[in-house]
Parts: sequence; structure tokens; C-alpha cells
Amino acid sequence: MSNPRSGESTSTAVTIERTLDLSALLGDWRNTNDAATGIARLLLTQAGDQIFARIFGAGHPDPFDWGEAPAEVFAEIPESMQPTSFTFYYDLGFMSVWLQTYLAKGVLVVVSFTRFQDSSGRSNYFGKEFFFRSQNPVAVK
Amino acid sequence: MLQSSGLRSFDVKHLRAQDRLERIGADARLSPSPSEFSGTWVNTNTDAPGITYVTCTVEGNVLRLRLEGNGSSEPSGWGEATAELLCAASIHGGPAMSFIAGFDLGFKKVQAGANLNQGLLVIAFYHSFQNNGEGSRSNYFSREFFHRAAWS
Repeated sequence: MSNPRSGESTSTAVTIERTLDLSALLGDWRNTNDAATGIARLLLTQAGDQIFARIFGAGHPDPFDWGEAPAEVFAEIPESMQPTSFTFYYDLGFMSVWLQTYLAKGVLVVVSFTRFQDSSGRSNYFGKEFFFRSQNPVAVK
Repeated sequence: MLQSSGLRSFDVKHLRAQDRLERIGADARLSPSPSEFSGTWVNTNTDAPGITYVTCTVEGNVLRLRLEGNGSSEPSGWGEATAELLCAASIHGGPAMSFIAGFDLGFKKVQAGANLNQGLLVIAFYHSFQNNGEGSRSNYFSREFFHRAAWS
């Protein structure tokens, strides 16, 4: 199983074919639920032949920036050059999170599998959230 | 301005509001029981299933999986895999209702993410071909639904 880890060398990222059409996936995805307490926002960007996901966790007064993680993209069928889903992974020290996504009728469905690695007593848990693509240009920094 | 996350530090307790420590209940469990998955699951799509059957075996807190493919678009025998991660529905614990497992079929590796929903076992499969460079096939995603076998 591919477990690219945040912060590691980009050589761990999966090289993508230049002919893949990533237009349906790249961009700034916002949680459909304004009151979400999980993932507030997800950015998917391309740098050369690699793509990166970046999560912003819901928080107050500001969201938590998880940083970038290399992502692997997937098409609906082997013959297609239009990816409609991607996966990525974070190891954040006290927790690690596997994220699996797919597009459905313009909505990006994000499924998360969280493992706590500290002694807090929190249970590993599953989450599913829904995102729409913002029309605003991607700008983070 | 964004909050500083301190990503590599163990003193960081949460990076999502829902993970806040003060929300932990007394019944939180570190190892959710996978017993809800035990048995045989049949694909709801009888016309063109990629995976026809899933058999789940539970020993303690270990969940083992056997998948049977259709023999054409997917190999018939996927072998056995052990779930790498079992997840409850929240940080408060309870029985496992989802898992991740990986399969190595030689020519491709498949990451499976599954969850129970309304009596169905929903599994998302992410297929990664191991022949990078040929460029003739894209890695692909599939999602299938399974109901409990009547005999299970």
C-alpha cells in the first residue's frame, strides 16, 4: 500500500503521466458544511509532474494548516486519461490519516481514516465529508 | 493568518476541532472490535461485479479478508489480507465500522477503504499498476457495494 508521508522528499510522490487531464480535480475545495468540525478546506495543486494535497482542519479562530502531502491520482477505468479520484497520507506525529477521495456529480467526497498515535485515549475513527470547488483562484500564502 | 500546526511535535493535540481532547468520552477504545464485519458479503451488482464476494474472518481484534474477483476484469483470487487499520465512528470509540487493507497482486497493488453503511459493506478500491512507464493504462478507482450473504 502506498503511504506517501508529508514532509518527506518529493521523490516519494508518484509520477503522473503528463497527458492526464487533471482539470476536474485541481483547485480549492471547500466543505459543503459551513459548520464542519473536520476538514474545512482541501487544496489540490500541481508542481511539474507531481500533485500535492493540502488540508486545512477546522479550527478557531483560524484553520489548522496540515501542510502539503504528495497525492496519487486514479481514473475511473484503466483506459481513461481523466482522473476522478486521488489518495494521500499524513503522518503528523500524534496521528496519521489516510485520505481517499472521489468525484461524484461535481462533489468531491473525502473519506478519512484516522489513527491516533499518542496516549490520549482517542479511538481511531472514520470520517466522510463533502466538498465543492471554489471559483476563487488558489491562493494560500 | 493560519495557526501554526507544529506538525512533527507530539505536544500538538488536535488539528481539527472535532479531535479536541476535552471531547473524549469515558468509553473511548484504542482497538475497535471488527466483529461487525464477520461473515461473507455478496456484491449487490449481479450483472457486472468486479469483486463478487468478500469473506471477513475475525480473530480477536484482527480482521482478515479474502476477495473473489470476477475472473475477467479482475483476478479471481486476491489472496488474504489483514486489515491494517480499524476505525470506529468517532474518537469516542465503539465497534469498528471501517477499515483499510492492502492487496499486492503482483502486476498491481490495491488499497481498499471500507465502511459499513445501512447494512451494506461499501468498499473503495484504488488500483495502482506496477508497470510505471508503459503508460498504456491509468491507475483507477472503483467502488462496490456488498450485502450480507443469506448463509453468512
